[in-house]
Amino acid sequence: MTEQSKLITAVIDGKQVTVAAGTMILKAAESIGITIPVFCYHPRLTISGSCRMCLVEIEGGSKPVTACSTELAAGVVVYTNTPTVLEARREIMENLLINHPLDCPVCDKGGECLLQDHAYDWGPGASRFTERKRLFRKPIPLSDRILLDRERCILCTRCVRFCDEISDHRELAILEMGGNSEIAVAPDRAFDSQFSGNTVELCPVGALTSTSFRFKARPWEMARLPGICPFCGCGCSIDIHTRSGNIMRFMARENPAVDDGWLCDRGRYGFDLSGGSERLTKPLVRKQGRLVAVSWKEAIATAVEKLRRAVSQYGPGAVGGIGSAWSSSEENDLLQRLIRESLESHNVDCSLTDDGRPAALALAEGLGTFTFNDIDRADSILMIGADPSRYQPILDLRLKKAVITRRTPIFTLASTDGEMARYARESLRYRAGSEESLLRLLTAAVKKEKRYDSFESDLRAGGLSREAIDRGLERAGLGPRTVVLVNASLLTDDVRVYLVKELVAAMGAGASTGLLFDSANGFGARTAGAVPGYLPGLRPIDRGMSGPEMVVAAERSTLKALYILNREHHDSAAVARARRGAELLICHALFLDEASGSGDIVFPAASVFEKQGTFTNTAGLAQSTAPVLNPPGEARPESTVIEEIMERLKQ
Amino acid sequence: MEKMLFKRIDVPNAADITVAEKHGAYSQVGKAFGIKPEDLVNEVKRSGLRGRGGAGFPAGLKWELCARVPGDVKYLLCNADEGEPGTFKDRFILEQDPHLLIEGMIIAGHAIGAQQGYIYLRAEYPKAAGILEKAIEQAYAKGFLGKNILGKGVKFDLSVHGGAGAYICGEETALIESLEGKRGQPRSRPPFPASSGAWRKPTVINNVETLANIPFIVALGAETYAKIGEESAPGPKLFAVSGAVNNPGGFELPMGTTLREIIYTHAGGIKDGKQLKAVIPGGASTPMLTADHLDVKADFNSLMAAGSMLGSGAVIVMDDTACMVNVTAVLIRFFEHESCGKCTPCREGTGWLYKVYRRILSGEGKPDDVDLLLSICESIRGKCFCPLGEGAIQPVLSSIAHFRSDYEQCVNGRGCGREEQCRKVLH
Amino acid sequence: MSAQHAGRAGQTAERPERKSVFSNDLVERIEKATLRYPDRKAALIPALNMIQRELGYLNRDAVRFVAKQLSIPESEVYGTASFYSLLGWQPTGRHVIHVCHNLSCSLLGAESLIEHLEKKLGVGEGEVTPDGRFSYARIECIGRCDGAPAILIDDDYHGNLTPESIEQVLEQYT
Repeated sequence: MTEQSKLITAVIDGKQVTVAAGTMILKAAESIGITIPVFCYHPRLTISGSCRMCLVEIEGGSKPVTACSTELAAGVVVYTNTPTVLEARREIMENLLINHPLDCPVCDKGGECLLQDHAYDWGPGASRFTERKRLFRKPIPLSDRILLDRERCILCTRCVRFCDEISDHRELAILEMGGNSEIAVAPDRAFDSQFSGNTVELCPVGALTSTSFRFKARPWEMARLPGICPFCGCGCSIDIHTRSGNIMRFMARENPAVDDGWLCDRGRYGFDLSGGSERLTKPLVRKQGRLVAVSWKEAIATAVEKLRRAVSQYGPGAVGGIGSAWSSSEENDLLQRLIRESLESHNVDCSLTDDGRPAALALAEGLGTFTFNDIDRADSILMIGADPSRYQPILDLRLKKAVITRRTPIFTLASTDGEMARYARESLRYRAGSEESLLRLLTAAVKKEKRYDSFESDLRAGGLSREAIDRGLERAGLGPRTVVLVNASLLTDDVRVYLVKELVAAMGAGASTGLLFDSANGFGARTAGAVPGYLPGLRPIDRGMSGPEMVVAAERSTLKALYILNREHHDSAAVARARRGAELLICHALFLDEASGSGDIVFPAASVFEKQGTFTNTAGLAQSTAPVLNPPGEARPESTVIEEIMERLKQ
Repeated sequence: MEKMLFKRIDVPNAADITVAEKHGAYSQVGKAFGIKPEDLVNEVKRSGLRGRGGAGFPAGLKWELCARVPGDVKYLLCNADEGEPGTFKDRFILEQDPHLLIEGMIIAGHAIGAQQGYIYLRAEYPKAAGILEKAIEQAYAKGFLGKNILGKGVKFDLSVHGGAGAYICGEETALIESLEGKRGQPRSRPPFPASSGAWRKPTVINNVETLANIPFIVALGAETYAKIGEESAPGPKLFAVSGAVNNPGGFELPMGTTLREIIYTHAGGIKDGKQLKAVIPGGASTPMLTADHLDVKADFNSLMAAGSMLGSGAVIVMDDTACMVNVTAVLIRFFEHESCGKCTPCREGTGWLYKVYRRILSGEGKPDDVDLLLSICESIRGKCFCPLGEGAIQPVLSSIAHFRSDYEQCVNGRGCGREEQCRKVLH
Repeated sequence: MSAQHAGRAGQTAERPERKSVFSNDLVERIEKATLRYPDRKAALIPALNMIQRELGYLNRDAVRFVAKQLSIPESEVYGTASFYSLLGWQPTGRHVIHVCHNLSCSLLGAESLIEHLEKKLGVGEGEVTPDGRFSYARIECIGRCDGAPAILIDDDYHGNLTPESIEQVLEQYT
């Protein structure tokens, strides 16, 4: 292997180290367990080499060099702990601290601050600086989420580099020069990137803080537990920080298969699910028209009795269950078992407004095979109706990385404006509703077929032409290692699924397809069987009503009983319509609102942070989460409730 | 010595191409085009020409490093950003004989394979900007610039790129950043500009004076040229003398002329019959010397041996009325102002130094301050991203080394009686 | 336009822009300047210099205009513009006096000259005289050390100045 031949050997602190040629001293040292202090260096950003904290000595060298930006040369002898190096660290620390406000007691970063830690480990202990420090008004808001304290800033530029290199939103810059330098946004502009929170985490000091965490907790007071972000279909890895039964913040936990160590602000700052409302803590059962708090025993007994009665009175076809693309696979599995096995109905879906089946068919047909890492390797990317910048933000970063670092060509086709269009070699707009014609035309274009006049005229009406598509395909250079990303919600019927399948097949073996779900478990709800016509594992079964069909049927009272999982993620209007004709409405809910309040039996649910569960992200990666909080009051995870109901129904 | 670089300086209207041509301008272009690029590079290597911007890097070697990198697109940049305080030697060429520079650049472009050149001109030279623009226009009109120079199929385009006031842009990589439209902050090296410079293409950056030497190397041949001046660094050298002298100005002298000859023979000696107290031999960032060093030859090696540097050849003379604390404070004010802010030691260290100087000059100095200044210099020394910080500490270190008594007078608590004058520096 | 810049420039365009106060001639000159470089961005400093010549200083509108014209994020235009000490953000007089205060000029009386000038003009550094005629600022070495103390008024150098001779110099500017 060529890389094998490019290995070099050198000595760091007396230890021999063998690394690939071109490896920086810092990384080489790290590989043999030698840590060199840094501020500006960050493994996922370009090298700045400006803080000078990582100075090390090379034997025979005239002066110390920065370990972060100096390649380890074959045969050199490096020292990271000589008096010269230690003195250099003391000097850099003293210089960094002369203008620093030393307000650690009131700084949110205290306890996890590199400046504090390095000062403790390497600093001079006392300062000889007796002049006036540089003063700034502080803190200044960069947006309603992010605040900047310029006095604490050490100008490492990690935040600026993040905005330039990763999000490519470029809102931050250094203004002025020398000792007057400051991080800033352009006047009258806000730091409104949906990735802004990453800069707070990247900031090695307390210069960038988030409004949501400011003065809320000290880092050492919090418990940290690993989790998966539940706010979109990406499923980024997070560390959940809690204190006294409350979530205080999310921090990124690098998962190269998903997030590259970044989070979007929707995920990072979305942990407060309450919106200020009070959680439901007791089961409620409707008695004489009013919901009253009852014991779990009574609530479950009532549910069992009423479900049993509905089936015996109206037949299994009059009962339906709605899972949720935002609930775990286990919960969806139990829901479909409750409906199919215990109540012997086929009426199962995961949404009240959309038929969940076509996307399941797509998965069953072998679409949805892509992984996030495929993006890194793709020859080209075709995006159909997808807007990851809005709905799968971390995928947006992955796509930008491909464009910025590899110039991967992207061809976007969308009915709305999306950020990715600006990174595309070609971006075309189609009229919403013309997706079927679009897919036919695309396939014809890929196959270089002519003769599709009928649907071409449909597209022309929407401003799209065969010529434009040909040009897009030409520019993007679609081929065997193309990744096709399709907005899963475009798959509204079987025809579209087969058209996508044909399109991908036309591209040749090796092309991978991603169905982009905007929900945390859109993929998993389907593979768990919470859709019409599919059992877990996408095994086919008789098809009952879809969610929208159930709503219509309930409204017309042909569906008598509806069991809803995860009320908060379902459309309120649809719940209200179903309520109108349904005799029995059972739901699991976190809050009592108009929709849940219209139920006959309301089970206080556990939030996603209060229970165990598996979520399959939009790239088919199944990830399990563990509870980080206890449910409030008597609220219980849905799974235990459904299990108990199923158990009782057997008796 | 017969003048070379300044040969047309006294010719009236030499900035006009017709006049310049009459006095020999562009006479070497044809000859140079007849020489293969690699031979031209070798010729410059053999001439021994060392860069005149300050660092003294062998010009031919710089060219060779760039010429060797494969690629069709290369750039030649002329560093006309002489911002080192006390330096104004290039100004004479830029304002009075721009065609010498243009001729040098055409030849250099041919040698390294660059078809595009830029003259990065400091904003403080607005007069030169107009003159250069016009000279370039004339050179295009006469066919010395453009797609097919002298009908020999050589292409070279040239334009002036004006700066906007930043000393740091005299540093090669900062100059490139600035040319590209960014903040003038130095880049990490490697890669060196020779392999990845302007727009990441192979790039040579030469000082005005360096490029002005090129037509003479072509005219004389490397061997003859190498006999001028010092063997270790041949050629003529421009010196800019200012400060407390009777006849300040720019002088073309052989490399290795002594400081005494420069100051007393050419610059007319010390003003008002006073004595020389200190001399900065190569611009603000070169260590100060004293009257004891007057017989040191002004060339790279001799000045280095004397503890200073040739730098840009900007000789600033202080007479015996000068307070060296005040002088150094003025220079530190400059370096603090011009530190780009990228790296910690320079950004924070120069600021700290200046604050201590301000305090000393305002009469609040303490005896420990002198050692504190030295210690701050140590915290900067050898740790900066680029040479600016290293240069900034030189006046402090050298003034304390040679004139510690001036400092002690300032910090002894009794004052020196000239505080009023000093305070003005604090603005 | 490179992909890296596309995002931000696009975002800028979403906001309603006021009608540009900048002349077509300026747009043309900036466009012409871009032709000298392999990347439009390189025309940033030339463009800022041109605007400063026209307006006397830079402001928010200038930054937005240039950002749009050259497809550079506004934050970066601010960052770059604020880096250079001869690009200013305050209104200036009809004539701008730059007084060198670096070493060679300082040795030969620059500070007394500044003191005199401030008294004569009745304004401090960065301020405009009430009649709008002058504003003055200190400047680092302007390379006229052979004429120290030296100043720059607009594009003209004046050297070997004394408190008396500077008054005569000022009279040349109306």
